[in-house]
Amino acid sequence: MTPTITHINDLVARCRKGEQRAQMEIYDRYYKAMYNTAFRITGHSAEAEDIMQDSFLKAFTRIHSFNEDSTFGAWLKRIVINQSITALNKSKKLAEVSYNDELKNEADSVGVAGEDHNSDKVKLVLNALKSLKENYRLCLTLHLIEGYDHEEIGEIMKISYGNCRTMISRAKESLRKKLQQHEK
Amino acid sequence: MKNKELEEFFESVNFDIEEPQTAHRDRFARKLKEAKMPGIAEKDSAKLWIGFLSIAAVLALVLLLSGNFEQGNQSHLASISPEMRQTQEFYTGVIEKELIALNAEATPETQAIIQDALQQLKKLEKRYNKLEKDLLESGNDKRVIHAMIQNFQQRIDLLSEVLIQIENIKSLNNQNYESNTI
Repeated sequence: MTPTITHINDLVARCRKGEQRAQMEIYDRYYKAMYNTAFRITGHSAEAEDIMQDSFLKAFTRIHSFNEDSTFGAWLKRIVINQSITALNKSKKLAEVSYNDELKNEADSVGVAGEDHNSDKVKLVLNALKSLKENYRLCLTLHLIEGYDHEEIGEIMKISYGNCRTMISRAKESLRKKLQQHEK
Repeated sequence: MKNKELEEFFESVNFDIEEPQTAHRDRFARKLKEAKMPGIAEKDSAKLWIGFLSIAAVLALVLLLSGNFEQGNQSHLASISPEMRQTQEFYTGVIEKELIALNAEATPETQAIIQDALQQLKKLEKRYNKLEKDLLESGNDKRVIHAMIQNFQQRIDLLSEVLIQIENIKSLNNQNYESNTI
């Protein structure tokens, strides 16, 4: 684990100097995780790509404000999440009619299926998550998948700690029910 | 599925199953090139700015110091009376003008004469500085004031004489040129 971490610090140091090759290397390393994070929040593949790439650009232009008390990945992910939530709120305001390009997802995940034995289950859970109402989906995604704690989620979603706790437990409950329906 | 199972499942599984559409890397590379990266560029401009600022600071310092020196040289005569200040301002103004005219005439042919004139001017300035000390010591003696004004006049005479000489050299050269061509 340590060698990769020092390697990332190395890359970040080179990014601070504005080296484009290092920036591309960081992109290669993180694009998938960041794309998936953005996709889970926005639910649009094109929008998720835009957000993911803009977040990288933002991170590189603001690399001087990255103080190494968190990892670069966590810092970057926070940018992605903030950008995604902003985009989500914007699309909510515009009341965009989103179409579910499930067919495309199906085709895409076929190739990945071999890598992941739990793939079917993952898809099942993700679909169940998608069917929840939006703030449930968002807080559960942040909590269960991105691994943020209650306090952090409260901060991200701009709600109080108590509200966040109850929202997450209720969301978890409804997710469990949804999954039970599938199991039956 | 129980709550605990659910959490364990989420912890054990990789949810990053999506993949952005093909050629996303190229799209990003293009975006990266278009975006202005602050890294190197900003550093360069920052260096440039520091350079400019340091030059400006040096210039300001030089101006300040030379201003102080001039004041040190001149304040004594100007401090005697408003009329004296006027005279001094008049003379320094004329000298400055003549100096500018002299510098404008600088050509390879006239360089020697200009250098000579500047040296003479320096001598006169040294004498003037001595007179200022005298002025202080004598307590605004009229003879010293007279000598200072004379010093100014000498400088102006010197400069105008040099300008006339330069004028002569130029016309001589022109005449030679004309006679040669004819």
